[in-house]
Amino acid sequence: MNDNLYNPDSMSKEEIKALFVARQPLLNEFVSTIRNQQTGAGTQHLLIIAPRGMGKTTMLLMLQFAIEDNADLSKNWQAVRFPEESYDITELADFWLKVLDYLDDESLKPKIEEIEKRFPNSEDLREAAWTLVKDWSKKNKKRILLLIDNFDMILEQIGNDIEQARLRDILMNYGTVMFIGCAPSYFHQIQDYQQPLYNFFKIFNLNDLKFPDIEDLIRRRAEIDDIPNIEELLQKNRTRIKALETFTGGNPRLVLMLYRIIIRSDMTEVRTGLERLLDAVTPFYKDKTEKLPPQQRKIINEIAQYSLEKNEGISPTEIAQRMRTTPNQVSSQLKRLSENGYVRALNIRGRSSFYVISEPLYAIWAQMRFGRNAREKRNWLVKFLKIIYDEQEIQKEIEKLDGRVKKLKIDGRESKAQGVLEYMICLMETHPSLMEKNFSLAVESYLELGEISCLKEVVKPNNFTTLSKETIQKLLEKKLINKEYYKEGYNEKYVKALDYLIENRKNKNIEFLKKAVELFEEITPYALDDAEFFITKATTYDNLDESQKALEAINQSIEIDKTSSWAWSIRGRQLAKLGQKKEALASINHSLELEPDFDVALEERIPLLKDLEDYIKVVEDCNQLIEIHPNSHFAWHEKASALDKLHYHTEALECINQAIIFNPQCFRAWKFKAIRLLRRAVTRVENNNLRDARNDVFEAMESLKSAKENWTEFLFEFYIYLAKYVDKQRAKDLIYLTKLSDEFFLLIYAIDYLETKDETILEKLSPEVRIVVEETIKTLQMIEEGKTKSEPNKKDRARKKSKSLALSE
Amino acid sequence: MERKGVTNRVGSAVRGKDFFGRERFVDLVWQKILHGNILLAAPRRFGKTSVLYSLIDKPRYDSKVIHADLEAVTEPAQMILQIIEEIAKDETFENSVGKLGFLKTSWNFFRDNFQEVEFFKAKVKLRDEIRTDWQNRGKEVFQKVAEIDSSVIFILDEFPMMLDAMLKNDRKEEAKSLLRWFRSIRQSPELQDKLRFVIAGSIGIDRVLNDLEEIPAINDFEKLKLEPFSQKTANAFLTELCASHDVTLTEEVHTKTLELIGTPIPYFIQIIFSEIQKAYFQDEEEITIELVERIYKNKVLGVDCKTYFEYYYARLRDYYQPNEEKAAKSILREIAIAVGLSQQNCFQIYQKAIGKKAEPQRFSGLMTELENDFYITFDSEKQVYEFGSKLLRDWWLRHYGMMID
Repeated sequence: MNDNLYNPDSMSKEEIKALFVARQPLLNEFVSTIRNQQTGAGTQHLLIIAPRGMGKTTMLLMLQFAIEDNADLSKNWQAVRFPEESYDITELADFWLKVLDYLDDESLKPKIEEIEKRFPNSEDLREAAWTLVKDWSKKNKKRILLLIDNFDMILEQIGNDIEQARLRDILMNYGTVMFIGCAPSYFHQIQDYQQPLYNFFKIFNLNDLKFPDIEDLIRRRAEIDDIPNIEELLQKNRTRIKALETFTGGNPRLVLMLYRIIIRSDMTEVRTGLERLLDAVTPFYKDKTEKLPPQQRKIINEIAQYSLEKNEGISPTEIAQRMRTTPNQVSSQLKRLSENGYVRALNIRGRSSFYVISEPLYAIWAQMRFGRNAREKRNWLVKFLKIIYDEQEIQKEIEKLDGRVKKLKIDGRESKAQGVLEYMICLMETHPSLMEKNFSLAVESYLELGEISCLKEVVKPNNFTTLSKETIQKLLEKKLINKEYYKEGYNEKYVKALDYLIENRKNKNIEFLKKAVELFEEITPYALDDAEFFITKATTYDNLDESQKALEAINQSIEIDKTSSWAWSIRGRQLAKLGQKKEALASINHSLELEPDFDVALEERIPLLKDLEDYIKVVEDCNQLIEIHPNSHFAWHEKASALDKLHYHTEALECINQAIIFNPQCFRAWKFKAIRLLRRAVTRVENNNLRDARNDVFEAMESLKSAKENWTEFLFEFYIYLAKYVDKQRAKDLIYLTKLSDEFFLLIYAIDYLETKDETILEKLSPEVRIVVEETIKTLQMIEEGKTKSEPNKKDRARKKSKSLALSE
Repeated sequence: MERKGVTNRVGSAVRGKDFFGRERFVDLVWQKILHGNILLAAPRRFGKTSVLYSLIDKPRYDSKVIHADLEAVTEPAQMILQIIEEIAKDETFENSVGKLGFLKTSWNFFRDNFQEVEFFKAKVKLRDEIRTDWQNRGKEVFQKVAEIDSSVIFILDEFPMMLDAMLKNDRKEEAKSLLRWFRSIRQSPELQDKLRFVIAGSIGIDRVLNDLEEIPAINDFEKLKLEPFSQKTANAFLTELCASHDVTLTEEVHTKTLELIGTPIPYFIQIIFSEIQKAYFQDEEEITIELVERIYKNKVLGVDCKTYFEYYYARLRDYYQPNEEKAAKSILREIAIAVGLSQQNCFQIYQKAIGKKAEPQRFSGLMTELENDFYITFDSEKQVYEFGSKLLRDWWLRHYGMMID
């Protein structure tokens, strides 16, 4: 049987033709375009865009065959096909030299050598190579059909805009070549308006195969493989084949990779085969993933996990909830991921889109790669097995594997036995009944292998009813379980506690939290090595402000799992609440060492750094947080605050404006802004720039209103300050400019008096007003006469308090 | 078998029977060429190159047309060489240009049927020679060209791109010299009446000239704007496409298709038709109004056009100072929301953005630039500014309708 199921380059022509399904209309259209090309300039060039495995290479091969097999076409056209990998093309000269090479004409060899020797300069070599191509075309009276796989990669390697412009010039103005390229997704060179090849090609996508096409493909593959009774097999496996449509997303390569497994029902090979397949694509997908910024990687992970669990797309809102961020932020990242071909929207329901990973194989790989534990990492395999095999078949396989484990143990091949045992667990996880039935087998085998660490993952209280007394005894001896652990009720209590937490989230009633912690305390002795349980317990105590108990719980979690950034961050928070700031910082630093982009830890660290007055670090942390959450009001606000401390006042103002955009309801931010503006106004008044100072005052006034502050009190203190420390006349002018003479007439009188010493100004005032004006005069005079502060009355005290609020943090 | 009727060519230049709907514009170009030089202005995907090819394929008034695509040219010597190469394709110039001293040896390569690679070797030598004194060499060539009886039209495609490339490759002074030299050629009394130039490009020349500080360099060129199709032409175009591709649209679907596109920019008609065709033949879907609307929303306003319009937004930042950028964005946003805005309203928005330094003159300049760059048009009947294209407006509204600048 042919092993090159997924490498068309290694398949024979007959095989490729035989396996060509569903795309015939498209092929016909391409051939028609080739036939109808006009001579000279104006050739139509094409681009096929589709994810890996959808049949791009096969399409190029079929085009090549179409030219070769048709006398009409082969008379006028020469097909030149580039292989999938063309890593050695880094200049346009290389490209044309490759074309010459693939023309496979002996007479070209000496000419190629000559131009390579004669034109060491890249530009000249490029032109010389191109002229050789034109020569060949003229001499042989054929135009050249270039079939280029991974065209985006070649352009990326070439890089140079001038060279791409030259390529465009050639494709546009010469009829010598027609170009049909392929790429896995839309790419920058054809999407960017400023690029020479922008929208230059007519683009075609390859659709997913539907069930009839998949069945047809499998039939044809089976015929080639000489599998007998194929129609009977297809009938028998109809359900599985239908399931393949879902699992593979209609991707022909995946279908062919998995067809043998389906048809032969060889479950033993499934895991190895699939893992081998995933190993093969890992370098490619790893590179594809590492190009993404952290937020987008997380989104990919969430979509992969969700879609494999639920078999459907996930909405941006759901993703946001899982990631503890806002839907808007997720939507903007999804837009980018969609444009770059990582994800696609499944359908539009009302206003929501539901997203899946574009390539099903990538989705599986992502889940395997990003799964938080071994169980999550093999979810995809469990799901596959469940779809493809029924319960009875799996049970038979489990029994077979159990025998194998025992044999391997006897032969001393323990690590191999462990591998098989892991697979057995996978099979058991497909159906709860299978887990129940076979649990003891697995536990026994693990105990015999001495694989305690693996056993910890498997042993859960709800499985215990199936264990024999002897097995339970062994587990106790190994301290894997507590005597009470397997008592009924653990699970129910945990679930009930979680229900209380959900209720609390809905109704914000502290009684629910208290009930939850009561239950947590009851089941703590049974929790064994459940690090997550202790985290939940710690966060619940945190919500109750019982920091000491929260700290104890989180310490227990860390003892079990020292690698949880989440746990270290919670620990830091509790220590901070208990006043142990240094230890708190150390904890949070450790959390960030484990996970540098952990936003929650960054949020915890910022206040601690503020306490230490390390504002530079605060700014750094804020910047990092902003990168993760561009709309984080908290980050922008804290950054503004820190920058202000560092005397970057203009930048601070910009930051607080941003903070306000993202949370216009934050009164503190508005107040901060107002204070910054008033401070700037002071500087402007000092520079005699009253117009701009006026604008600052207006804006500050609005900000204070938004902050629900008493703006008149603030501004009064501001004007007092100006009059006292800057210039009285300017203060007065500014009052008039800001049209606040009615509100601050008292101050105007006071200033007038101080400027003129005219007693009549005071004499014409009513007694009550006069008292206030005289107090104000005294206040203003204090700095002039260098006297100590006068005995403050109530009003003065209030004003002083406002002043300190107005002009300081 | 060749397809009858218009073939839907996307991306490449259209020629011959596929050239549709621009006949009147081509007539206009020919009329204008009689009296002076032409600058052909249009955004990408409007069909400039196709118009140029029409001039090349069907010359009028007994003139000779010489076409040079300067997209990949990065120095003056290369430009002159390219022009010489094109000139040499026409034997009319044998006894004039062909007799130039520096071309004597290499001319044979151009004319005789040598293998291209031999020709290329000669070209490299010739280029090196031209480099030594490109101004004079170039002048000699043009002088010799002018000796023939016919008038000669030089079509220099992607001229702004060439200048831009020179600018980006630290050849600013050379680009400036080229511009001045080129101007001197055009204004030379002996050449003025015999030679005509048509320049065109995918990027606006004004910005490039501004960067080179050579704004008056081409003020002798008459600017002709390539507009979208008229509704009538668009209708006929879509009918032709359907006929030649065996696609049948009902009248309602036909009308809906054009209604969705709005301003009939040929490229978008082609895109939407291409998708309809795919849906019909490959996916075997019935062509209904719902299908066409879906295609418009997902494809036309999707990947194909997103970056086309993103460019319009991004270039405001590149072209204008921050306060004017803010003003331009505010104005465009308001026009998008209001559909049309009077000049006065636009000025009010401008004033708010600029502050007390707002000057009516500068405001007018900004609005003119936005018009020239195809963002907006002024409807003189309604006396309002509108978006130049419904698609651009739809896109702007969707993505920037709520932005606070």
